[in-house]
Amino acid sequence: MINSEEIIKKLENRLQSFSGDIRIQNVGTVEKIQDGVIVASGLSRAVMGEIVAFEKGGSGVVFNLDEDAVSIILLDSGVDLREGDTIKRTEKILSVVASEDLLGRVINPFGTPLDDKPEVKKGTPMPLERIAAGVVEREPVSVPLKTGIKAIDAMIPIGRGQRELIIGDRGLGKTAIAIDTIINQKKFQPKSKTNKQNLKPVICIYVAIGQKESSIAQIISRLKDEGAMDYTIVIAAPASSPAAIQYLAPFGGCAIAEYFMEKENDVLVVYDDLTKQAWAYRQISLVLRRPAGREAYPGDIFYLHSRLLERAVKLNAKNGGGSITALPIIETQAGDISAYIPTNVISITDGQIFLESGLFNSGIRPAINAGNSVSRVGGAAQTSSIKSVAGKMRLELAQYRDLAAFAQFGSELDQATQKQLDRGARLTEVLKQPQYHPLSEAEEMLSIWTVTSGSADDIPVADMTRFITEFLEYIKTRQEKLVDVLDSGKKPDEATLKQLEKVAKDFKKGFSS
Amino acid sequence: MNKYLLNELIEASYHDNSLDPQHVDQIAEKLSRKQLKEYLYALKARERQTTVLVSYANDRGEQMLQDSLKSLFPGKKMKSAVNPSLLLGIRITDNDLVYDLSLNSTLEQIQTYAKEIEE
Repeated sequence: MINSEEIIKKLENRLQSFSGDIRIQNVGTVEKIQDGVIVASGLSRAVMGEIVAFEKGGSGVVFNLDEDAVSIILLDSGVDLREGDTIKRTEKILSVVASEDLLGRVINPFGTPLDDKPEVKKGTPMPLERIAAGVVEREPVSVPLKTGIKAIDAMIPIGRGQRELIIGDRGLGKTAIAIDTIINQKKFQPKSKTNKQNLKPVICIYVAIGQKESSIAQIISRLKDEGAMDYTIVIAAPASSPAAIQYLAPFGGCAIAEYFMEKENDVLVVYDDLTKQAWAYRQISLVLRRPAGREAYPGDIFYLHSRLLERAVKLNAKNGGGSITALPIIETQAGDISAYIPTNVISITDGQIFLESGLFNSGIRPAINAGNSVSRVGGAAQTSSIKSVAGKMRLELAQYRDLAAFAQFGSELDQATQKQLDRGARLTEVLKQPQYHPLSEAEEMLSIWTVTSGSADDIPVADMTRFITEFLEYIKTRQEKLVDVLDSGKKPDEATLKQLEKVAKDFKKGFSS
Repeated sequence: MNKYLLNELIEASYHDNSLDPQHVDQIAEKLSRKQLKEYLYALKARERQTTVLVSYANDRGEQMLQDSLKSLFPGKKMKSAVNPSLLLGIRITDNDLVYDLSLNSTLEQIQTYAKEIEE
């Protein structure tokens, strides 16, 4: 039984550290409320980016400091605010409390839960705005981030710590690529038995900016069904939220990612999509009467995205070795990648995955245009097994596209050209992949190997998909050890390749076209 | 109306450091609605800068402290008000700075501190 005197003494000791000094507050008065922005007088000592509190509840962020007024962006609806209300400084900057308890949760950019579960109060407050890691703290990207999508892992490989842009018109599968990547990380979680490459588990953060709440709900439901929510945090700033929330949401996601990165974890952050963030920032800037530039965007729109994406980094071992991989998504209009925002973000990122509507409509899904897509990290972030089979694939596909256009004229073709056309058609067929079916290392390698090795040259193009599916099933049930060797990611030796050829030959005997 | 002109109008509205109603009326008659709004905003800001509001918890405090507080803010007008919500002590509002020496403020600080300990 605890002595009551001890309890009182403990409390007294704690209270001794309390200091009741004179409170000097810097206050302001609401002068004007306009479209989510408040112009206030006073607050002469407010700093840029500081949180301020309104006397009737609610908060805002200082966004403009003028000679005789301060502009504040509202972080909520502000329906109770009136002219003449008092505003107080909080002397705090925007931050989000981050901890492991956030995994599996759906929150807003400031940590407020949106999933009817209790708020995470204990954790480390991480500032939303932060300077990115310096040059000396980084190391080159060398560890792959497996998406499970054949076309990407083979031709546009992504590494941990890279920024790879996903760009295309609406409805072409940008979000699908991001979600499949998140689902694929299940293979590398601690309890998984499929992590033959011993890659570090990846924590995923999905930032939904300006999307319909129904779409966000669908994504969350899919992630739950696939068991991906255990290692994922969803930060939602739907279309109904104020522009300030949509503008700050990506920074909230990045702040939480930095918390995990500093604990030596690898983190994947998906920003879906940054176009909506740019629109929200444009709206705020126009209401604040900041000078409008091209397409009415403010002059620092490039800096908005560059300072966000520069925080995606691969730290060196001295600084913990953690990483943040960023998958920003940009929506184009009518396939125009030369517009203002797309060109800005393309110049910032380490590559792009370009989705084309023509490919999508002709049934090639994912509709990745391999010609315009690139990964500036490239082979450094690719496993040896995939590199050994997919090395020439991009070139072959590029040659196929040129030849296919020429072959439309109907002229007679020589054998070598016809063979090239057939090879290209088979590659295109093999790279098709259904949604929510990310593949393992072995499955990706085998799918591509069957075409590049010539083993499937006698299979009709129309039967390629079925051939690959049945072949993978065949090899998984009868050659488990071979699959384990391929899953390790190491370059297959001569003996393994010969074994593969034999297995393929045996399978083809029983395969009916 | 540019800032220079506005400042000139504000200076012209004052006589011996206090607002002259005649001058204010003369100026106001010549301004458009929008200009009048800017003029009024600037006048209010000027008044806030030159006035110190002292809130007391009760009349006794006002009698005790009024003279000594005048010397702390030379050149400024002193206004006083009674605000029982302070419980004890005073609150001084000098433009956008609030010096809170009230018991109410101390209790709020204790409440905040206790919440932080609990978390």
